Amino acid sequence: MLGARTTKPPPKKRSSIFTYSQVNPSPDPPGSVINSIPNKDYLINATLGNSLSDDLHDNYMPGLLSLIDSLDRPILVHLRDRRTIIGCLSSIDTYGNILLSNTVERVYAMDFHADIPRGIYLVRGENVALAGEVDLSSEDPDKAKPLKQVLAWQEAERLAREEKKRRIRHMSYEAGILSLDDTLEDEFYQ
Amino acid sequence: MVDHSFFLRMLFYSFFKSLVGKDVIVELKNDLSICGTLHSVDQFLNIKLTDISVSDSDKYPHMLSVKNCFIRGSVVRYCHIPAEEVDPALLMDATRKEAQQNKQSAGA
Repeated sequence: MLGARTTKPPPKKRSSIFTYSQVNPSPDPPGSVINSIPNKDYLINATLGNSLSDDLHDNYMPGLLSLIDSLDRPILVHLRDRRTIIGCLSSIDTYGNILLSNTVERVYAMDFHADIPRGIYLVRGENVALAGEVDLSSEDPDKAKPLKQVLAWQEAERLAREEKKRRIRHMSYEAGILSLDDTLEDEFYQ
Repeated sequence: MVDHSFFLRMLFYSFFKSLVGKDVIVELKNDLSICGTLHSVDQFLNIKLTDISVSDSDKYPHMLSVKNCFIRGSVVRYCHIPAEEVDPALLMDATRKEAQQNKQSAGA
């Protein structure tokens, strides 16, 4: 693994500034995906070692590695702290650490959303809950609202959630149950 | 020192590998249920689903534009799998076999 990592990667081809509309909507046919992007071989060898790369060239990429298929495409990443970010997938590793470029944080309230530009994002693997390729062209433009409005709605939703939590805590206190205070807003914590 | 959890994990890993291509429902710890075709699974039981649909999409609007998704194993609560794909007797046998192997390798 270390040996594979020390081999110098091919210089990264500098692509033009990424825009979502540039992304090819039809995915490459199976088999050609790996060959179409020059950086992929290096990534596969760096993450798995050369031994498995034969399997990989038959397009067998289990679990985490299947994200390699989405390299250079916009993906949506849902984080453990309820945040959702969308960006162009630049790199991944075996820990599930994810590097995104041209990232926007998407805030949702009810079923509307707004985007906050965030630049480059490196997400530590443990914070990723879900990642999936998005087709931004199929989105309903009416669902996009001004950021200020969405943030206000979101704040109202958060307050309602807090209030509910507070009441549950109060009720369990009355019933003699000590509940642990989950200060971290981690929706996947159990 | 034998890592017993490793063997047991490998058992479920191979079990999940036998389910590749089947329709499953994955319930996450945030109560989101995702229905999709199991594309692949890795040793951490990270799951890749294709052609997904979410039952209560108004509560989770961000899933609407996602067709294929990767789910980290640590956020999964349940996997609902088709009953006809599971042979409990076979699984029990495999578990005993794994336990036997563990015992032997621990004794050696």
